[in-house]
Amino acid sequence: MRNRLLLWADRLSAAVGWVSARLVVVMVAAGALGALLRYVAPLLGITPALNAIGDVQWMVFSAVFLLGAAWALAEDAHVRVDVLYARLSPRRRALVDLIGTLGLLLPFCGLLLWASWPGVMESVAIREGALDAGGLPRWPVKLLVPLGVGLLALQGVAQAVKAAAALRPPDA
Amino acid sequence: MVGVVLALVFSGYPVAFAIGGASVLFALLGLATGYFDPPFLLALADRVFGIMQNPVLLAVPYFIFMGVVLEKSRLAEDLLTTVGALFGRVRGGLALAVVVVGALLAAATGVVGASVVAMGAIALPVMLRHGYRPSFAAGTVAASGTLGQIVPPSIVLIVLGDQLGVSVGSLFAGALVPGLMLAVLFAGYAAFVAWRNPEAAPALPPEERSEPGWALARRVATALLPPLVLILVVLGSIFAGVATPTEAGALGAVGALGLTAINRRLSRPMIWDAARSTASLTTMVVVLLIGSTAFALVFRGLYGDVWIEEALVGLPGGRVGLLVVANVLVFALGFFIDFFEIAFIVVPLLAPAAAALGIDLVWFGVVLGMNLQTSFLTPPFGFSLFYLRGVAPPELSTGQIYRGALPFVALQLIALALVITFPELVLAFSGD
Amino acid sequence: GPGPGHGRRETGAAAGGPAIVTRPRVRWRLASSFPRSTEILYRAAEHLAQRVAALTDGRFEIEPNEGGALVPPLQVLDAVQAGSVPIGHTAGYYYLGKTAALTFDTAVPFGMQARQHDAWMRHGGGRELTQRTLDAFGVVGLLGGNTGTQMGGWFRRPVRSLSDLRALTMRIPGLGGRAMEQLGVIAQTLPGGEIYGALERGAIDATEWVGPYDDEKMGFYRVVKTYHYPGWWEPSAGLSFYVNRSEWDRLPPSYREALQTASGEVNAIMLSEYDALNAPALASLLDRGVEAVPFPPDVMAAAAQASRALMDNAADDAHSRELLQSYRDFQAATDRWFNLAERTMAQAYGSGGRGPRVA
Ligand code: NA
Ligand code: NA
Repeated sequence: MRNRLLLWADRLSAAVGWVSARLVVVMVAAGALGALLRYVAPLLGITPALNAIGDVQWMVFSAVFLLGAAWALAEDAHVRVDVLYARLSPRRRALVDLIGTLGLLLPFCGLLLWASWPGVMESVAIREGALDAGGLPRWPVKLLVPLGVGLLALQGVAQAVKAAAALRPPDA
Repeated sequence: MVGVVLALVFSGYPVAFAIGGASVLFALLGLATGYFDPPFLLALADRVFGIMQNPVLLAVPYFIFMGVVLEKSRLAEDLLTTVGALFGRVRGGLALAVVVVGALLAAATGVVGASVVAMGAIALPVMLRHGYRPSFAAGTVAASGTLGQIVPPSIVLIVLGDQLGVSVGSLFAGALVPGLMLAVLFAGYAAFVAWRNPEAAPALPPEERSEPGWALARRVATALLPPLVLILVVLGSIFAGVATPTEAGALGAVGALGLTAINRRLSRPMIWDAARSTASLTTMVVVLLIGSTAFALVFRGLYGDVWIEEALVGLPGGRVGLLVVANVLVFALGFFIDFFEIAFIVVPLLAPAAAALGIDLVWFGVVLGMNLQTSFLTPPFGFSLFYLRGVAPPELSTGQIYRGALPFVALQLIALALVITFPELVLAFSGD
Repeated sequence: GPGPGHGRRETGAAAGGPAIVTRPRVRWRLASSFPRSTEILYRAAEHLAQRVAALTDGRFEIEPNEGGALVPPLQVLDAVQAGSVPIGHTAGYYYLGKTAALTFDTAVPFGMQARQHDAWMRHGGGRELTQRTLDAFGVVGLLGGNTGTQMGGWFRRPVRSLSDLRALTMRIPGLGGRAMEQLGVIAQTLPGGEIYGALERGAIDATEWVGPYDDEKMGFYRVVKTYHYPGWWEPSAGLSFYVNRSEWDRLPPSYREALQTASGEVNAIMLSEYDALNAPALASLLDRGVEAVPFPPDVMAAAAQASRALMDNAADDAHSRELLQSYRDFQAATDRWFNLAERTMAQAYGSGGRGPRVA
């Protein structure tokens, strides 16, 4: 039961990581397209929707790191100052990870969720739109904040369970 | 407050969440003591939305992707070892190449996260493979990647120009010579290390440099020129006005893919591999900023900014007094908080005093910029060091990164002292 | 060190003695949208803080924080609405992604000039209507200054006719950008720090900012010499102090009075400051070889038409339409009066020997 839960958490994180990596390519394409169009448009006398392309970039950028956060946690890609940590035994490391997850990561996720919820709901309720000519609606990207943080917290729980398991001698 | 954060960061738990968790801790303290009400913390959401929409941060994934593609296609290795071969018997050739490329990247972007990670991906593995002392390699990469903060265009200078009320154009002009001077100092140090400690910065093995002249020329044409052209095109597109730094990064990323294709090394797995690394490194950089912004918010909530302000009042006056106080304060704060918050908290307090004493604000801005740039490299809390840790192979220890940064911090301080002693280094170029 | 902050209110009645009720201590953080370097704009918050403190014997303290210090510059309304800060200094039109109605307390393309805007807000029903917009956000609006008519901006090549605008890239955010787009401009938004470099290197062909005083500090004159006027998309730009409704309701009435009084004073001071400082700044720009050039008549005519259609479309709900109607009625009525005396005098100055050198 516990193992299946862990498996699903890891799979979910891997899936959002997969999406996040694909989005990097979208972002590169949008960025290069925007730069080219801005230079070429006056020569051709066309008026491309540069503000929309600009919005695509920051929205995809947001998706990359919001979805990537949980995946990076599963892959241990968040940077650690491991001057001491590197010298600890595996059990001690598991202890640091367990305490860190319960005492630091999960409370921080709680703060982020609590803080972002009202603004996100408000933005969705009023269907917050673009400020500038031809820009894209803003409310969908704001929804990614609670989603990304929620996934991060879920992966945090999975990491905590793994760390706790590593602390116990292997029996049952 | 500072002690608790340091302890949590050193616990080895991921830095972003150690800082974020610490901010929760201090937020509870602030609520319990009545420094603020719960709604104050809702501002964290606005700060996160601000990071999402920050056009400057957009450059981060682009430059990372460019660096990762150049690394994974082994074009970067070809570039750097060819430079090393050009230097032939000269030891430290690779390190010099890293400083030069670092300065170029620095001029191209104003974003440290982008250039340190890109340089780390491009240069660090090559240097380690060729037997460079790990701490020296790490220090060279971190310091060269950080040059972007003082070599214009730079985010630090833009923020400082705003805070000091001086023109960003003047600041850019004034920072050019000090920035180049710093790059020269770094190169000189690399040459010095190669001369004193051959084992720290070895020359390339004989089989890689004992080729006939025509073979080397051919290699230069195929390996050295294309990536250099790419970098020049990226820079050129910024300076010629085709693109902003962010767009140039995107063009550079596409250009790197193009180069890889021309060299017949492009494959779908390679692209997805590069995209995965880019996503992971970008996430590492931005999540660290989110943890840091939470801490900064709570710091303000507890009136940390006002506390610093009060500590500043009644300090010894005079030009020398102010310069000493300003530099010591900024340097010390740089150990713990990120440059953006330093610029917001401290500079508004220093600027009126400096203006009243007849200090040229452009020069003062460059001095502060040099000092802030140093803060990226000071262990334990230097953002460049964190970024490099994130991209470096696990065999390279954090201690080695810290040790490697120290000589470069010393070089920065020398450069700072030079700029303070000889204001002409700035003022000769910054006038209308 | 500093004591506990906003939210803590000591209701200090002298213990045991006669009922000498001292007024409560209130400490508010203010989030401004403006950087410190925009001296006049940012200073408005400092003025407000000084006056409120003076009017309450220092019992009601307001601490201004510049744009980005507490929350990002364009998130001030969100922060006030959520209660993260009790008060902010900002411009409603930064938030027109939320509703078009938020543009009316700031600026409307081809809308009213500063004195008309003030008259509409104070006496023409503007405050009541814009307050109804803000009610939905749980915010109380107070007047927060006006920049006066802005300049059209800096162009790499002079605009001699409407066709020169086609496919021209210009940094111009908000409704002005939407209107410009109707004239064929590729409207773009760039952050303040990136504009100078983009203009210098030709990444953009033109940019608008505020007026001579603020523009001179941005240094655009170093790279571009054509300075077009007027900024028809901002014939005046009104700013506001936004106060969180429940914080407002919790204030003692005399403190609310102090806030209102101070806001009225700040509002008047900002316009006079701009009038006083724009004049020497314009002279100094002209001395540096800048050429002030009016937009050609066909541009102005097309812009007026495009602006009207834009506002017809933007007002897409009943409340926005009601605001637009009130705004237009008031503008038409006061235009008749302003054209009679004020603008006749202005024209007389312009054609006579006392005219400004730009004419
Ligand atoms: Na730079
Ligand atoms: Na530091």
